[in-house]
Amino acid sequence: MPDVTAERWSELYARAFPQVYRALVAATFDRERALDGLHDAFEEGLRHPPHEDRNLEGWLYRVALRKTRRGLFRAKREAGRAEATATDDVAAMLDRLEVGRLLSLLTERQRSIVVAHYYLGLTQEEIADGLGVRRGTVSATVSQSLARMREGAL
Amino acid sequence: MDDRDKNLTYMFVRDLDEIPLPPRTEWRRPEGRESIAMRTSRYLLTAGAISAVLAVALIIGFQLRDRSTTAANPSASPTPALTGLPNLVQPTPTANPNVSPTSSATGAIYNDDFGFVVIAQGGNATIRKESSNEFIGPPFAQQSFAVSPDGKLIAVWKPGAGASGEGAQLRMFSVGGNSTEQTLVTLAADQRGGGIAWSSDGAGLLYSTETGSFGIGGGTNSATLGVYELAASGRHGTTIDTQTNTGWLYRPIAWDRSVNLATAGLTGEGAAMAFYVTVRINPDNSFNAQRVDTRSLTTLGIPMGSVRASSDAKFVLGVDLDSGDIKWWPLADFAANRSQAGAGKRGALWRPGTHEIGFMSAEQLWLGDVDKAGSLGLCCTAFSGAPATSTLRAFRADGSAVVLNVPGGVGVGQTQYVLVRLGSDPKSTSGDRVTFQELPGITAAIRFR
Repeated sequence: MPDVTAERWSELYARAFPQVYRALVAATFDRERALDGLHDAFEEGLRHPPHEDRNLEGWLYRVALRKTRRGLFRAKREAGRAEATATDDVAAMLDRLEVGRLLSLLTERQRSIVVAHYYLGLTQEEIADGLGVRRGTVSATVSQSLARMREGAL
Repeated sequence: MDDRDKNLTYMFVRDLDEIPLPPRTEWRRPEGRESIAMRTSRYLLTAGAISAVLAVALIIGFQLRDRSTTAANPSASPTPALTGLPNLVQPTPTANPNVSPTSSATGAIYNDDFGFVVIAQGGNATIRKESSNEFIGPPFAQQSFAVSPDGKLIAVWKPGAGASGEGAQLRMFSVGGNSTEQTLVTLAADQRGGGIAWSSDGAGLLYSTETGSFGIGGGTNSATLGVYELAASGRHGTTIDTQTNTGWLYRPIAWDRSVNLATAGLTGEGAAMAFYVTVRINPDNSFNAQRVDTRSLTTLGIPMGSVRASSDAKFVLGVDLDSGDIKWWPLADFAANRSQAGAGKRGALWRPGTHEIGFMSAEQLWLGDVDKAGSLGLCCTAFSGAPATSTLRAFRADGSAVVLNVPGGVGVGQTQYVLVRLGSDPKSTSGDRVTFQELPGITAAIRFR
């Protein structure tokens, strides 16, 4: 997408926002970080647009996730928290959802992969490329996550 | 994707779509608001500055102590003067272009091989191309027309002149204007045209007629279901089922000529489907009709206006008025219906040439293939980011794009639509779209070439 204009990028971003935002909330359990990561990804896209507009959700998700991870690291340092936990309102909201309860059994890394696969519909190859891990790692993470969710559902 | 994956996908989409979105104004970083990273940088810089101040204070303290030592001991070296503290670096304002999302690449989305049936002035319908609001076809009755499966022909009931004059006529014309309008059937003066459905091969029409007043208990009433085949050797106005003094009216749904099966709904007051009628059309011109009661004691049921057949007439769908559930069933067997809870509240249509039901869920357009529907129903999202509360209005005649109706057009009396280009499979949906205004409503899609 080398000739993308700011206007075009804004349009594409607005279209992808709902799905990617929800995926990021589900992965991070933190609405502020999800929104902040998406803001950063939008601005990243203005400076360096993705090469193609297919699977824009996947591009936004992985860029935003990368940003939220930095945000998490810094937020932890900033707040002096040993571990990031879901804010109360997000926890309550996710706790009402069956999937939210199952996701709470996983680590953030597991959640980010499972959500990418089952909610955004990314293939394991796409997730591996986006997160910079091997496909086998994605596959193993999905399997472990499903096993954990299955145990939690019993 | 195996069934387990499909079920998980369904569950994830069903639940995570419940996560509320922030207000639209927050989708981009507000002017002047810092990101977490910048806030943290500022924090670190502030902490650094404080450390520097403390360090400088310590140095000064040591220097003063040394100076007093020097005063006491003139052989000690002099201390250089401090010129100031380091400045705090302010974060650079974040890029936040206030660009309104508008259409782009419109030429690539519009395709004037296609167009729409729209409501023109005076309440009649007419046709237009995709890219232009100009009316280019003859006016015809909007209540009773049907577009052929290939989108190139329109069959319509032309109202009669009343009891004393000429009866209603079933007519047909080409949307490309390359053939004259043909009169296929002329009714008696006291008959009205009812509904029309094309056969799935485009070679015949299933139509209904009626007499008397409408509704249950509305007095003497007769209704007929008839067929007309375009081939010279075909049936030309053959009645295949009749209702007499029942108050019920037929609304044709589909005709699959390959299996000689025609279907219609029987409806009365309220326009909900009361019975699903199947008529087997035998080669010897005998007809076997069966009807299934589709009424519900607890709900208003399925409005006939929501009942549609897939373009190959293999499946039929309808939307329950109370619950919004989409029901679909094989043409021959209403009892085999399945449903998707609450999904059809914002429209449910068959994507032409497929067994995919399109419907809106939150900001997403779903295309659910009934052949692949798992135990949890239809799956999956084809397009995300549709305008909130938009409804599905029509698919392009070849299924390659979809028209969404957006409440609140910008002009007086206008309606806003979004034309979204679709891919060959859900994940390849480009999402390219264009917003346009239309004075009246778009009611169907047509094809010029």
